[in-house]
Amino acid sequence: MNTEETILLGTVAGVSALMIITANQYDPGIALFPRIAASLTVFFAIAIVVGNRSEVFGNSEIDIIAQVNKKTELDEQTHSTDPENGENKPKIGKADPGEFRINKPVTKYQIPYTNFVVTHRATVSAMIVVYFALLWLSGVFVSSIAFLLLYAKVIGLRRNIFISLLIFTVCSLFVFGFWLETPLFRPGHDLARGLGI
Amino acid sequence: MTLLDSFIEGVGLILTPTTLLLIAVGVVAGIILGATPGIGPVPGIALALPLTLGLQTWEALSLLFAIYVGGMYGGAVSAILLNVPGTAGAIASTFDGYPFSLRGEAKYAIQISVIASSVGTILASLLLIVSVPILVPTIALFGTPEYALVAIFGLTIIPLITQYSMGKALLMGSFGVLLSTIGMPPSSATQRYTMGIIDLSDGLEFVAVLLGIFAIAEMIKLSGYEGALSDSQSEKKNSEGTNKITALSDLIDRFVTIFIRNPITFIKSLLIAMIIGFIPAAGGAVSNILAYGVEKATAKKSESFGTGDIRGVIASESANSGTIPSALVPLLAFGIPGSPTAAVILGGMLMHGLNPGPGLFEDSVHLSYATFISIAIGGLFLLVIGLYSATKMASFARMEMTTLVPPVIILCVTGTYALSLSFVDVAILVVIGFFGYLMIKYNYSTVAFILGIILGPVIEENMLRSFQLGDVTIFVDAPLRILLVVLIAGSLVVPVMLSVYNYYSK
Repeated sequence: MNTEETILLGTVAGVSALMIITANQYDPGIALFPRIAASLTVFFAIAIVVGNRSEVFGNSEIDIIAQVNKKTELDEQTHSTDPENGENKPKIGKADPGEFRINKPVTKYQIPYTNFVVTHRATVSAMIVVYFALLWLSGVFVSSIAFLLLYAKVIGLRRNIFISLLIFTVCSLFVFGFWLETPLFRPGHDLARGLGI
Repeated sequence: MTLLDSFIEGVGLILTPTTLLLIAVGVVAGIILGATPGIGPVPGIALALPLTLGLQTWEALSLLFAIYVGGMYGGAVSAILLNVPGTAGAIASTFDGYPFSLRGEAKYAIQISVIASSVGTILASLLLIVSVPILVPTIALFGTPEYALVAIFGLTIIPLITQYSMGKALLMGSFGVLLSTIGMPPSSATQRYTMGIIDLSDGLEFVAVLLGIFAIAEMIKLSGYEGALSDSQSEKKNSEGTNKITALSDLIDRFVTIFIRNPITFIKSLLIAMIIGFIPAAGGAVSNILAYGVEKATAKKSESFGTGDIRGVIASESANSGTIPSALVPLLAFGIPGSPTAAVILGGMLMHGLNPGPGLFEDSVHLSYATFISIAIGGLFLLVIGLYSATKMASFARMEMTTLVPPVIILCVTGTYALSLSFVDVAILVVIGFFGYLMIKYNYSTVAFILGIILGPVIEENMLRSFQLGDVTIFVDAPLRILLVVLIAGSLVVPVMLSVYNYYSK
């Protein structure tokens, strides 16, 4: 089992175990249902781990799609070579574990001043966390513009695309601000309360 | 109030200038979203949810239904032109649609798919409108124990109808149920698992969870890829000759192709779609493949399938669009979505104060009529807009992933914050987004997780009420209840038996 999948299963099982333990502080009437749900979750998590080892249940392919349309046909069609220019068609067949259906190169990013290379997924994930922190610090408007700028800088957006996205973002924020009355500059902390924003 | 009065009231809710305009806007938006691989109707509707806050209930819901209608067809545009299904409901459209593009007949295939989609949507909606007098007394047969059993069946059926392994689907379903217990329980004012956080007292914000699973997780996934999801070789070839004006005689020919030359294909696929729509969480993703498979298995000269047979396009497109109204029937009747898109629409209904379930269906029949009328009008608009735009929407499928990711993330974060001005909700969005990404990556069922969150409170409340009416035997003391218990047991046992059979037959 992959490390990421272990983290996923560990989180699910850990949260469930914690909820079973902390259910003691509630009345039996309202603690029963979460206890049952948590116990089932832990049971299924264990079943997946054990099933992966025994190869019976963990990787079972109960696939109605496969039953009506043989996978081999799909693969033959999607991987076939284009007769006119000899290039391969894109892959749409069933994905391998941990892979998606899209047969495109996975892009990577080198962290400045270091030799570390990370995938763009990791980079974007980190930027989402930074976005959330900025949201708490400075409100929706500033954090959204900052996220876009950071994204453009790190990913290397072309100038015209960046300008289009900036206009789209500002317009969207104004829609939220003026139409839905969302406070665009209110931070999540109380540090700026005295400033009246 | 008679059913006719309810029907007239339902029509009155939809036939307003604003609502009709929003339906048209929704169809266009849906086609664009559907034609963009990676977006599709599910994240598209999830993104639109916060924007509907400023609209009246039926204006908002009509907009969401219209995005669903447009999105389901939009998936076929990129499927036919670029061999990249814009949505899971358009996978089978690539099988025979793309070969048409390679022959330079993309426009023909797209026009067929527009007509099959729109007429399929309209006919399915009309059939359901006619069926309401049968549906209402049928749903009245379901009491509290039945309602609890149907909700459990909604979770246990997922491994059978999707590509997920049984263990992974049930794990995520039960984990969703567990997370749904956060907040106030149905029978008490005690706060459960809120850790003293006031923003959690009503549970996890459902729209934040939806956006996290269906939008943030998808964007993290797509952010890894270089360029657009379409391949440049096919688009060059297919862009030739697709923008010529179509003569009326050509359009008549398309109608003849579907309804005179292949009526059985159309009707068969539509009926399959309507049955699949009633099954919780199945939706267009299952119906289009199933209808294509059935058509291929039963058609004469089936060897032409996969090489550009128009019957393949008709089957796939009429099936995925036919599920749109039928997937909303279990949602309206029991609060159980018939497709992942219906789950997101449930979020919109809850946001606007509608709580679907038996009470709503029986006491407010006009709302069901309004739903089906709105979808039928959406289908009508799709016919006009879809035929006009035919191949123009393909440019959205060529959009680079790096362009797509930042606006979607910004809309998700801003939209979630706008819902209740809660940073806790945004934190939920981010955490569920990361969690959802891992779920997608390792093939854990996101649909089961969302259904678990939806059905958790339904199961808990109806279980508690049932036990107030009697002991555990209450679930097997009536024929309908026994049938439901057998269905639940079957849905659990059959996948295990199939797994064991497959393992030992290797």
